Amino acid sequence: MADEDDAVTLLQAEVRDRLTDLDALLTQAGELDLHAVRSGRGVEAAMSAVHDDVEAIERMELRIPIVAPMSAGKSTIINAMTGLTLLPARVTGMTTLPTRIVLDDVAEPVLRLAASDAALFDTLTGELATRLGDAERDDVLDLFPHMGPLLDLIVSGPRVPFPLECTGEREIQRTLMRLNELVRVGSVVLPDVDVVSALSDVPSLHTPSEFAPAGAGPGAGTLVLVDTPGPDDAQMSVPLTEIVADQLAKAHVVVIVLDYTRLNVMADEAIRELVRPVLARIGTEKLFAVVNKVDERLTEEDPGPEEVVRLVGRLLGFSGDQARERVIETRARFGLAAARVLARVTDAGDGLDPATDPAVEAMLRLRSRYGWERDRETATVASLHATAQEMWRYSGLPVFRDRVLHTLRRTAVPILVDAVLGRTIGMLDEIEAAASNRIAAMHADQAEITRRMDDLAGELAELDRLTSRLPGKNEVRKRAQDSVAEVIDGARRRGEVVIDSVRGAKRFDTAKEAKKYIKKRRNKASEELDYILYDARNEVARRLGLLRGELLAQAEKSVAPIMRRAGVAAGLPAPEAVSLTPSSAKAVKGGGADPDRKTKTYVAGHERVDETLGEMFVRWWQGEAAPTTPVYGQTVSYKAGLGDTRHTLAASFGARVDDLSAQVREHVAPQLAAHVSRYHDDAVRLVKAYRDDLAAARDDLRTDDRRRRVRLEELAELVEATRSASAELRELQERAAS
Amino acid sequence: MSPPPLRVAVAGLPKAGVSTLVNALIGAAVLPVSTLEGVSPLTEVAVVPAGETVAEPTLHLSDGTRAAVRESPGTAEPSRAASAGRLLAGPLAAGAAPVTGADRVRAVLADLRRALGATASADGRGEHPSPPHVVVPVGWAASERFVLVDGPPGILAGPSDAFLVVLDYTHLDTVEDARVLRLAAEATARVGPGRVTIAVNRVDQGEDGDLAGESLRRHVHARMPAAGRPPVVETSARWALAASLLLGDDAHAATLDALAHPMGGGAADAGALSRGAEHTIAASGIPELRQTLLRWWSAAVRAPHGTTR
Repeated sequence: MADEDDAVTLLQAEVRDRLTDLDALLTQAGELDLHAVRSGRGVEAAMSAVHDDVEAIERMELRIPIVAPMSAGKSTIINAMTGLTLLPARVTGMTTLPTRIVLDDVAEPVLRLAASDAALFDTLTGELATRLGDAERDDVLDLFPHMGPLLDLIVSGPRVPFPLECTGEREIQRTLMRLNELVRVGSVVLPDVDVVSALSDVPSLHTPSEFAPAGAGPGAGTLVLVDTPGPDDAQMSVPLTEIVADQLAKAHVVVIVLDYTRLNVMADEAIRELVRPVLARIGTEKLFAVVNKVDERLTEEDPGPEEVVRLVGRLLGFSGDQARERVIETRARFGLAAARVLARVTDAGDGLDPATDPAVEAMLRLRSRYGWERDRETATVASLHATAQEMWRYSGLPVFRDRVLHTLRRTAVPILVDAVLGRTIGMLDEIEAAASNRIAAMHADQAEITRRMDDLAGELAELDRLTSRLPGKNEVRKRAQDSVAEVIDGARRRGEVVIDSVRGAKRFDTAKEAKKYIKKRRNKASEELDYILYDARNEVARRLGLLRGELLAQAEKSVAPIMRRAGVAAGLPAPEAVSLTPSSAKAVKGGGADPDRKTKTYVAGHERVDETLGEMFVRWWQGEAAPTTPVYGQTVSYKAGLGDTRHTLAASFGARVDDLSAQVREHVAPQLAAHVSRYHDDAVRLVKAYRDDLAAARDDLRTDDRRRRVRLEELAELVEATRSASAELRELQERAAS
Repeated sequence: MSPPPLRVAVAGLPKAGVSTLVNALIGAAVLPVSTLEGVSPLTEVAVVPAGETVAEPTLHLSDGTRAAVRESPGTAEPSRAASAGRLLAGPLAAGAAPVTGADRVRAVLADLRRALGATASADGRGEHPSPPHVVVPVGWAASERFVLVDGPPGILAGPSDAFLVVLDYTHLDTVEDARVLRLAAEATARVGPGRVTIAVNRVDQGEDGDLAGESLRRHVHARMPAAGRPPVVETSARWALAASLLLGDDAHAATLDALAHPMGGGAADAGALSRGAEHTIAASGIPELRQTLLRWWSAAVRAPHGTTR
């Protein structure tokens, strides 16, 4: 055991030292002006990648992103693994920020937040507090009806800065929920503020677990699970997609959680898109698939375990054997219920009161829908413990734990070493190829090089010319605007018709009826207007998608032949890399619900005026009629005029349409322009790197014989050094594998 | 002269529980419910008052269906070929009698789905003109007649007198659900909120603190681009179906028992189970939906001109 321990420590140290040793070699490659390394990014980029890997080896951290469509149950699985409800889970997607879960040997769970990120959330809270008016509040509650208490807290709660560190199950759950919800509220109230991109790191949760590396034997490392938001979340933003992609790029192993009830629905396709680049790098042998919610398998027509293995294997490209080993069925809901009771039994022991414990109730309810109350009456701590263990086995999570987490922890070092060495060897191969090319060039005739360089100069000039003629931000903006102008005008016209139809004043006896009438007309119109806007937004996205295709096809048509001549290749950027849908506008609102009160006075009759006896006598004596005074009646009616409503609706609708148009101009079009020019930039960078390598060769040739010989020797040495370094690393990789 | 049956599109994503919901409404497991082998073809379920025409569920298949099975390109696969062969030799043979009995009807429909496979397109277009038609007698209709069309979200764009949209509670907020709600909103804009109902199915999967009642309604409405606010009913169709099967016939007690005791070992006494079943049906949202159907019927009978668009 001790020997093995030593062997692993030695291996770890050796890999670290070897990677550190590469510094000299990389520096030399840099001095020799080698450019065609890491897709033309050069030796600098290579060095920084190596430094990242050294860090991963030193910390022995195995990064395992858990990727899943919304509500597949990944948070439930992670919670069940720790026996604590640390991650908030809800039917309407809960994870908006990736969270790192370090399975550690801490005494109690700790959530840590980078200081700058905590400050960012404080600022966000403050900003939201000033911006949250009634209208914004309604907008948020429409989308997230459960957030009322949070909004109250934002507006009137005490200003408590976000803690950099918090402990305790409930406190951690609350803090995480708060972070996620703030991001969601922010996306509604401050749509222009991109909180997610501004974060320096993701929240990091260290939790005690049986998977802690200490005492796990040689080769054990720390498992870092990364909880990621679902790629099919309708609310997910583009920067968030990038953060998830970034977490995946750093992955050593990937776990995909699929939902049994949705095995053949589109969400899985989104997952596959997301992990495809990672799979290309790490291979299917570093991928696990969990199929959750198999408790929904009820009828004979539902796919059985073997069919699930076959289906998922096909989806992810596993071989038959791989699929049997790597596709795991779970019932996470049961696992979490059981794990919570097991944790309660461990904590409280005989002090556990079955009659009042919520974890016990939850478990028994799951086990027997109609008999759980009776089960609870007869339950003892021992029987509950047995039930919980039975349910834990039933959940399938022990299989996940043993086959995935335990295996990974035990073999963390070899996996990590393999991943790191693989990446480094690939890079060394590139350096070797670049140096060999240079040597070949220097052996070639100087005239030949000059000719080749002239070619390249021509190609670069051509590329430069193309790049300069590339539709710039302003032009793309114009084309985007042109292509959607029709949509926006059409929406405006359709809106005007709706607004113009809000006519027809009516009179009512009561203010209430009049108000109701105005309100009804107003709501009907604003719904129609909203619908027009909704349609327009979708049509805008569709047309911009077409424009994107057109622009890229144009770029590819001119750039691809040049790259082919230069012998380099760059792929077209993926459609997911740019978001073309304008963010959803606020609802159209109209005012003017106050009817005009009209009063009309009329003479309802006359009544006699009181007289004294003397007055009456005098009047009678003079033969006059009895004096009367008119009695006035009054009718009140309420005129429900629609003029105000029409004007306010027009103003509100106009503002929304302007906003849509501005969004295309200010956000979507510039993004589209950048998206297209990125492709050109990649091409230019690749060709330039190649040309620079040739230029360096020509410069060497132009110097005198002696210096040329020295340079050739240096290059030969570099090739030799790279070869032997990569051979050593390969040998190390094989040794580590055994 | 009795008015024509009311045509109701029951639509949702695969696995949202559309077929289960239809089964629960008619109280019989007539439609097969797994969807892994491609998308279910459109199926019409004609609901008629018990005792009027048929005594038990009866499936009528058309020549169009026979042609579709013959021409289905997927039948090269052995499991599909077997299903197609069974169908063509049995219920699809020339002059074959209609299929009767819930279990037999379900088996034939399952075969049909396997045989047709991916040819039934997800958006409901390209269907052959006369889909399988099941006539089912129910006790809760006195003289009302309905044709429930079980299909994918695409049928929300088609002609129907009313629309029942099925959402999966555990997948609210996903991109696909957003699409279904958009179609639902368009249907609402056409026929008005009085002829659309949103059933949020599988609410039994919720936990404490999840959306329910008013907050759920608000959540759903906020995702329908302004088009009127159709009622939202929370359902657990699978439980309702299992419970009504149990109450109808003890031979099916195993289904509810298995649901209530997923880890096995279940069966409390039979009394507890049937008491539980009654309670489950009452709380399942299914009685409400039946009332909705009856209300739609009487509104349509009063205003027969306001039908299909």
